[in-house]
Amino acid sequence: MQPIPAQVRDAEAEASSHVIEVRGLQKTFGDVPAVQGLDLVVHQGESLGLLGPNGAGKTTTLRILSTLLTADAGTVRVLGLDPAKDGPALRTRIGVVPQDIALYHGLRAEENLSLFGELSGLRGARLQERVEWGLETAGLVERRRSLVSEFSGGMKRRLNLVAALLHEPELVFLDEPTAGVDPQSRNHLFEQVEAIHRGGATLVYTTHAMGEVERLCDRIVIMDRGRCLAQGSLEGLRDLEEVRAGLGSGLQVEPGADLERAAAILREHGVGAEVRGAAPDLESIFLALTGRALRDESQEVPS
Amino acid sequence: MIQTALTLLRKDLRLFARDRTALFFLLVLPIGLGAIMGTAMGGGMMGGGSKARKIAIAVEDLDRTPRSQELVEAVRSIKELRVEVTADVRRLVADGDRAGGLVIPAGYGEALSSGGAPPDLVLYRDPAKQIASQVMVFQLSPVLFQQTAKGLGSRMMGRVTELMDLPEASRGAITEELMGSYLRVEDIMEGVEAAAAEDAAEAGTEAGTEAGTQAERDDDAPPVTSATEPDATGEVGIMEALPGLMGLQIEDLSPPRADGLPRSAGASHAFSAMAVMMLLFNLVAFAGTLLEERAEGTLDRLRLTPQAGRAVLLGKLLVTMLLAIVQLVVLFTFGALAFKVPVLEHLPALAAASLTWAFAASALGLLFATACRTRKQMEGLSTLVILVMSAVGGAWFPREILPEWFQTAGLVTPVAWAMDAFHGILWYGKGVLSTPELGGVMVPLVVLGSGGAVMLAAAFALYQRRFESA
Repeated sequence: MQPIPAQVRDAEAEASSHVIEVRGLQKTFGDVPAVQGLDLVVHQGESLGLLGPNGAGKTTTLRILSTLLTADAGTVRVLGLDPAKDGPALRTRIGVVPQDIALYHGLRAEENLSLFGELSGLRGARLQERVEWGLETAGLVERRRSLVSEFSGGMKRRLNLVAALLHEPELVFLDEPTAGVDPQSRNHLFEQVEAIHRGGATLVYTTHAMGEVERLCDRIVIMDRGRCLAQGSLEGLRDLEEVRAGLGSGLQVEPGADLERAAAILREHGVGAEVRGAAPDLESIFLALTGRALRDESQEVPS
Repeated sequence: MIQTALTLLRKDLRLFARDRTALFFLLVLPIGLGAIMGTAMGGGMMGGGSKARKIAIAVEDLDRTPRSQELVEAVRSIKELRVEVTADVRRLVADGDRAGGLVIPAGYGEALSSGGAPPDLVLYRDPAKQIASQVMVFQLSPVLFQQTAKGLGSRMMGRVTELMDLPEASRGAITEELMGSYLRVEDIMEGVEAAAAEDAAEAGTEAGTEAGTQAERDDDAPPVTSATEPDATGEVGIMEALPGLMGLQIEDLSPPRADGLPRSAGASHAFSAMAVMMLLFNLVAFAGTLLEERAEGTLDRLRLTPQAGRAVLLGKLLVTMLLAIVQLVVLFTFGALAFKVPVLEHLPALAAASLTWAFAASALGLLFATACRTRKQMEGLSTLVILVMSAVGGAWFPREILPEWFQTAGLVTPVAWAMDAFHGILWYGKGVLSTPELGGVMVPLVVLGSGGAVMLAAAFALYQRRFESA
């Protein structure tokens, strides 16, 4: 038997670590190109942030990767499978947290989880166990018998999240999972997403919110007009030349230095300078003032 | 304040003008339904007025003589009747396939030729088609009189004296007097002929209005009644007695109920119509939840589960069928309890018809849901289609009173076949399979089942194209 060359071994090893591999992906709706030649690789255990403005092609890409749409051109492999051909097999291994609250509002919380758990192939004691897990994770044990229509936006979002995770998928797509929720619920959702990631699942997270990506993602892909503009870690993106040119430069000073005086000296020597403090953002202030406890109790509907 | 109100008015007008469904209900639907009702009631649209309501009558000539052939030809010449010479006319009427059936008995020609009294002609009528029956008798009377009067003289006079309940002793003199007045009777019959033509025209016009109740009046006719039998007071009116005087024996073929209770064609028709039309509205509305689920994102979530796939549409089919069966059970139970609709005695056939119709109506609902893009679009389209189908399919008026082209058009709708099945079972007492005495509803059920299968296949194809790859 001939030994396998080291280069081939490395390539195979790398390829086997690719949970998602996309080459030249294209999708057009009528005359409108949604995705134009996208290349993308997601590694095993990675948490990838897919960033971009509206119409960037994030959701279309996610729908193709998760078997909901078929691509017009390009090759797509997800967990080694072709989403267009191997849909049923792939769906047992992926979870999708949709942007919409995709729950039956006329059903109770536990009924929703039972429904989606059963359709995901769970049965009997295992199904019951995962429904309990879902209710606990979403913080809705006390409200298990409430109709979803009676829930607050945050409660619905949490249930929306766990409904996609009942079958313990290896790969989870999260499409703006925190839209329209209060900071407490958002923080709760972040904690759950982090827990999923720690559990070994690979994440693909699409959002407009930079802060969410900073907190949750190892690597970031920035898309616009159906193409990938840049990708890498947050630090890597900051080091990109075009990014640095856009942001300007910083100046490190000793702690306790008089910043106003330092800026004045720079200006005297013809260097434009101003002092900007690293103030906490509004969300941090809000959390600090109001605490991190969930506020579902205030949403209770009298029976 | 007025300025504010006008601003709000402009806003509402803009919103309304951009709402196609609202515009459809405001403008198109009333015109469409008005056109259908108008045509059905004998209006002239699309030539419906003049060709409307030819009454189907079957003639069976058991005599087969030149005199009987003369009578057949005379009946054929009545332009208000659509005459078919055939055998087994009693069964055709009992099945509801013809409004009436005229039997010319053997010996008719010979009796007339020899100047004797011919045997009675028999006219079978369908009590569920009362107006058609009345028109038919009006149209037949003068023709029968002309054809048979020569041999009827003495018998006719004898019957008159009997009906007038005259003392035995004076009957001979009265009969003689009446015989002497024979020519006057001929004059009277000429008048009757003219009046009959007029009445027939009026009855035809009124038919649509009366039949809108689905009942053609309440036909609590006893099983197989002679139309010339005395009423509760023991008296027989001259108009009711006239057919008998002309040697025409009328039998209303009202199928007997097992429990001996009186029957109501109106109730049977009404519950059949409700079973058909309301079920369509409800099932199409429920099938529309597919579009709601797509809009809300839950359909995508179902599709993302490994076991959903096309089971999503199959699940919808099953649940709509189940709801249909529940609705039919409730409806027919109420009909049986409150209106004595004969449900229990026809349970197997009714169950077969209910299942078949539930399937076909559910398939139609799914076809609407998969063909439309939004719930609102589906509501507008389905309302129009269901109302039109109900009108031409016989759920509003019995089909026989509709213009002929309406009746033909009705056959392409599932409503017509469903009405044939339900009304056939509930009123005519048909089973699924034909018997020597009565036809079955197998044909309507096969048509409904096949149509349902085609609609379901189309719904699955549309679902795959518009929902699974969109």
